[in-house]
Amino acid sequence: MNPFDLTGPQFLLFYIIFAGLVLSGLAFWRRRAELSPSTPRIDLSDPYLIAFLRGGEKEVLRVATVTLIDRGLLVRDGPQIKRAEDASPDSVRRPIERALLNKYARAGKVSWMFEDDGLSKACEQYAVTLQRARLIPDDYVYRARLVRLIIATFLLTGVGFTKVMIAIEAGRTNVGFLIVLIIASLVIAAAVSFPRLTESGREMIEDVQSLYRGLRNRASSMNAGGASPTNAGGAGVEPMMLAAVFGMGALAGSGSSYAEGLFRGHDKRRSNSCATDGDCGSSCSSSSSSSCSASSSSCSSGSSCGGGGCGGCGG
Amino acid sequence: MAVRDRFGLGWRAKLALGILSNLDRIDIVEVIADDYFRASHRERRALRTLAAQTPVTLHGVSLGMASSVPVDTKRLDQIARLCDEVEPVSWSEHLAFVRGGGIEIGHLAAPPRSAATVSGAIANLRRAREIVGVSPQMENVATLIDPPGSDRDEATWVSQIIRDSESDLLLDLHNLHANSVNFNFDPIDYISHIPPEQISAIHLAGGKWIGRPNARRLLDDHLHDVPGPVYQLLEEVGARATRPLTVILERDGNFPPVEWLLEQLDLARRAVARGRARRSAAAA
Repeated sequence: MNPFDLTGPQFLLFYIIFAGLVLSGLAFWRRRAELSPSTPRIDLSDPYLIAFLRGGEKEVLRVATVTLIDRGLLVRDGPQIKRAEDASPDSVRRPIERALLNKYARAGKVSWMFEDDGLSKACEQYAVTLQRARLIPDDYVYRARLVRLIIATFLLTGVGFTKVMIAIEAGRTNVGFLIVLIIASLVIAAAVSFPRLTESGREMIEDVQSLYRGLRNRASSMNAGGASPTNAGGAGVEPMMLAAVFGMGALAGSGSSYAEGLFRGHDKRRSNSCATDGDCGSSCSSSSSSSCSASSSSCSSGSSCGGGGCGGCGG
Repeated sequence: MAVRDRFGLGWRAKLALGILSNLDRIDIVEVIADDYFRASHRERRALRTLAAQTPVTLHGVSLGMASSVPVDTKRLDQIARLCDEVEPVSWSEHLAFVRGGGIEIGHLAAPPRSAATVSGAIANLRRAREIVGVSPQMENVATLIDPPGSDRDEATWVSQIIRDSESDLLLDLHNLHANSVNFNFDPIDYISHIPPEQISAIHLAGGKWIGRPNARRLLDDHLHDVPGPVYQLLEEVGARATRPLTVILERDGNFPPVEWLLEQLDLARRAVARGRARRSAAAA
């Protein structure tokens, strides 16, 4: 069967199926190519690195801002923020925090931080680290993506425009639907080819969310700038890590619940229901929310005890 | 490269941040294997990611190895698959039974210490080695009652099993401490029964006293700090064990600040170092 002999509607159906196969193959090819054979090793305790992985530079700025507010180094003043009177940029260790304190030496809009080159520069180290770990694309990955996109474009336009030419030669002009389909498939091909994260990066953020699910389960017991009553995960950094791993929305109910409102409207790309490889500043759903952690009972799943009710662990 | 003693914590979701933030002070993490038997692909992949950051050892709680009943092949397959995926440095189970007559006890129960359970445990260990590819380290358990039907003491029973099965012992020192005070025996004498070359791992934990004043029992609950006598036993093991030890601090709830747990790990490091120094001095 020669597909170019098909009638117009039949060819449109054929082209939809063909484009679907090409796009699926493109996505599959990219995932295979960008999946590291070994699990990368990165600092999973660095909230800014995790925030960059999950949501990029803007997410680092959001997390850093909330952290500095919780620590009393930045203060909110209506729709603006400014450095606290007694705060000094030298009192913080991380470049991004120092850059933010310098930026807001005078009161300014929250949105200003997203337009500042100096703050972008302070985030560069995270991009470099994640590129080295093949979690976000480097030049090599970009080039490979481009090659795959060119091949897909060749296939999609080649088949589509061949039929267009045949139709025009036959004196038909009703090729509008096909041209729309060709353009749509090219747009989708570009989107499929260039996600923000590599496949390893997408898996890594899912894994980090799975490992840190215990944090999410007790957001409501976290105090701003402090630790939860259990105080088990490193005082002062729990809300920061919660925001880094799951987004600002995860802070709802915690002492830092103002955070989501602080950035609302300042970044149009934010979404409340983000996938793990997109820019997002809100509550990404993690894996199973069930917690294996033990309660105050002496035996429970997740412990080294032998199961449910018992007279101690014994194990 | 010389292999050194390793010190780590049991992985618990609530401790995740504390553990991942202190990998410079934690050499190894122990993960409960059973939590991942029915876990999604994504959760198991997360465990692989954890294993890429720090060495992981898997700890089983449901095989019921110390029983005259053959261990369930399906459960061994599950742990074999998990070991293949995660590539832990070791895996371990308990010298306990957890089911009988088709009924799950929900507890790590000490079996009768008899010839039947010795041979049953050895057969089960052989099956485990065949299916998983590596023998588990076997852990002594705590018990509040002296198992009825026993015809030998615990030290004899444990050492027979690990010697005849050529398995390593994961010596839970709080279980040993609890049993020694509950049943009035000398824990040092117990340790001296164990072939020192077969001690490869240690568990530390805490517990609480329960019962009436004249009939008190020490309960191993993993909710309290490691008591002083356990560190003394650890020093003793450090002085005797001929191989590098993996020492895991188990804490299942009532979590203190992670720094407090790390200080207990430091105490464990110092206890083993004292024991090793004694051993070196004796050899010199």
